[in-house]
This record gives sequence, structure tokens and C-alpha cells, in this order.
Amino acid sequence: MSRLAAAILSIGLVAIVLEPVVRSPDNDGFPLSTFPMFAAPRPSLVAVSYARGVTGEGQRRELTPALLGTREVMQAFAMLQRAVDAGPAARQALCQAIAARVAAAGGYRDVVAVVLLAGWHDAVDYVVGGMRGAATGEVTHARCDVMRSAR
Amino acid sequence: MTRLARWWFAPAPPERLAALRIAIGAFAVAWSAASLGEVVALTRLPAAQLVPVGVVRVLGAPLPGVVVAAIAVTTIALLLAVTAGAWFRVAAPLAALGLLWTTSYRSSWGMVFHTENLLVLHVIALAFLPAADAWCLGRTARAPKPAQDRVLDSARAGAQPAGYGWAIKLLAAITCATYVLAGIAKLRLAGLHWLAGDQLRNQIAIDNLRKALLGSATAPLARSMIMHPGALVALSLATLAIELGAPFAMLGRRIARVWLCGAWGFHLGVVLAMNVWFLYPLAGVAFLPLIDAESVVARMVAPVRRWRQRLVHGRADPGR
Repeated sequence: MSRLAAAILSIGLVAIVLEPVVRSPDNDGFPLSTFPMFAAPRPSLVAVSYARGVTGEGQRRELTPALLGTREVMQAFAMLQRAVDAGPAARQALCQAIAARVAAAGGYRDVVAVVLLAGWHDAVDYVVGGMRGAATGEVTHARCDVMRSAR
Repeated sequence: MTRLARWWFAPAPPERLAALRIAIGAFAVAWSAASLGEVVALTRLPAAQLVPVGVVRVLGAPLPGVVVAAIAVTTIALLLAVTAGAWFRVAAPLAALGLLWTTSYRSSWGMVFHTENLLVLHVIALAFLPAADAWCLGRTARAPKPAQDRVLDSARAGAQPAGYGWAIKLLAAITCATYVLAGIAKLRLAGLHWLAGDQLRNQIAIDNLRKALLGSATAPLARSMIMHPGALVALSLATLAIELGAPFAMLGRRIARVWLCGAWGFHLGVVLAMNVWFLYPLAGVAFLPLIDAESVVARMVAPVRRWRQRLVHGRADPGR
């Protein structure tokens, strides 16, 4: 390859990689990213959506991201948030999909229902308190039964 | 300008670029194979969850699972060929396209995986570079022209040969550019207030809160870091210095080593504070263009070469 061709290629590729700098930082892309994660200012008090299993005794049980449809926790979080934002039909559809996975999963036989919840948390207090803390203003967005086939 | 050109085109051995091909290719193979199950699992999600990003924007609906799996498996096979340096001119562009498609598809379900950007950019860049002029599988059997002869051919044709140093610098520049972009994003979105420490504190806290609420593992040092505001200010400063200072790593080996130690430490800090694993830099592969990659890769493949030599030797001389 000649130096001229190499120089054109170098300038072109570096310019393409730096293209996100002329985009709005909120306009993320892939693989040309503006890298907005960890950059945007965020308050400590945040609304978070989450799913829980409910046992026959009314106790809540944590559900793993895999039961939400992906092993990637942040992807599971994004899916939940989008379903909650999309309205009742999307919430119910996601709730039923989770309930179907719970029914098929071992180790959740005591779970009889799934709920989609949203609540306000002070993230700093939650972490300082040892990853414990109750949500304020918790709302139930969807509830669905875990249907198991009789054997 | 001549000084800049002299620096950019400073000679480097073809083995150094080949070592980068092997390291980046091998990492891409391992990464793609490890995430294959997750990519296939995405095909079972409802179509409404698809939020296409990048090249996947051409899709109006999810692809059938078998197509997604076929593209992912073919990509792994092509990446293996790239790593070995076999059929490089054909395999490298196809592997780059396959990896771009598969990773973009994975990022099209509500969350962009920023852990994959740099790997994809490096594999795309490799497809344009003369990275298979040394250390190629089957090269001795076919006995094509050695790398030095190719450079001489280019010179005889009247063009000034580019050599291999520029290609290595290009890969290094891509690494540095992604860090600079991350630093610029912080300044654009939060300004210098990002240095106050409370932004970093909130980011760490929110990330861990989400993980805890979704039943996933939280970071081991999140609590300790959040409880030390002074440390958070120092970490904020260090983060921005590493990100915006990345281009300095291209100026010399010593400064490159200092920077990459800082950048690796930064990623280790991200693991300890948020349990977010940027495996490409953590494994060191992202930083290899900044150092003598051929010696690192040669050390890593030495046991394999010894084993291969023993195998070949053993077969050739069964009496031993």
C-alpha cells in the first residue's frame, strides 16, 4: 500500500471514529458511540422498575434477569422500563412472559404470581445501607398468575 | 507536515501488526463464542422489544432465530480465519461485517453494549490493513512473497511504501479516540461539575441499585467508595485525565506504559465500583497497539508452538 492510500485510509477511519463528537451526546449509536453512560448528571433519587415473584403466602421473591428474558442485567432493566413506559398492554405482555419462564424454571415452585413494580429509591442511601431499603411511592404496574400444567 | 508523516509512517515489523491481528482476532472469537447463547436467546424476545441501532436499523422486525444463529456462527468461523491469517483479504471484511451485524443486533434490544464498541472498531480497521503479511497459517506451504518484498514492489511501482507502522498507529489512535470521546461526553453532559465527585457517586449508586433490585451481583467496593467523598473526587479527576489524556499515549513507549497502567486501573475500578466488565481492555488486548505486541503475543503462543513442534517432530521421527 502506498503512503498516500494509507494516509487517506488513516484520516478517514479516525474521522469516522470521532464522528460522534459532532452528534448530540444523547444520540448514542453502535459502534460509533457518544459514550453517554456514566456521563449524564443524575440525581440520587430515582424511579426504578423491577419484577418480583409472589409466593402463596404473599411473600416477595427476587427474580433473576434471565427470567426477564436476558442474562444481561442492564438489558433486563431497559426491557422492564420500556414495557412500563409503553402502557398497560406492554406491561401485561411482559408480566406474562416472565410468569411463563418462572413456571418453567426450577427453584421457583413457591411463586404463584409475578408483579411488575416501580418505586422511588435514594440510590446512595440504598448502597450505604448495605443494598437494602424500601421503595417509596411503590406502584404495581401489572400482576399475573404463574400457570403450571398439572402433572 | 513531514515530521508528522515521518512519525506516522515510522517503520515497524510486519510481525507486530500480525500479532495484533492474532490477539484481536482471538479475543473476537472468544467473545463471540461466549455471547452466542445470549444472542440466540434474544430471538425469543417479543418483537416489540426490538430497538434497532446502527446497521440493524435496516430491519423492521426481528430476524428468525436460525438466521441470527447462522450469521453468528459464520462470523466466528470467519474470525478464526482472520486470527490464523488464512484467506485474509476475503475473510477479514466478511468477519468485520459479521461482527458488526451480530454485536449491533445484540445492542438492539433496549441497551447498547458499550463494552463491544472498541473491539468491533478494531476488527473493522484490521480488514483494511496489511495484517496478514506475517505469522499466517499455511503461508510457508504456499510460499508467497515475504512482507519485505511486498514493500519493495510498492517502491518499484513508484509509490512510497507505507510499511506497517502506520497501521499499528491507526489501531492505537482508534483505542485513544474512544477514550477521548468518553471524556468529551462527560464534559458536554455534566461540564466540570463532573469533577465534584457527586456525579460519580450517583452513577455508582444507581448502577448498583438497579443490579440489586434486579437480582444481580453488586460491586464489592461500591459502598466503601460512596462513603468516601474525597476518594470520589480523586477518582473523577483520574477518570477524566485518563480519558482526555489518551492521545498522549501515542507519543512514546514510556508514556504509553504509564497511560495504559492508568487506563487498566480505571477499568479495574469500574469492576470494583459497578461490577461492569470491559473485558477487551481488562484483558489488555485494547492496549496492545500501544506496545510491542509481537513480543507479548509470541510469549503467549510459545507453548502452542512448542506443542505443535513436538507433535510434528514426533510424527516425523516415530523412532524417538
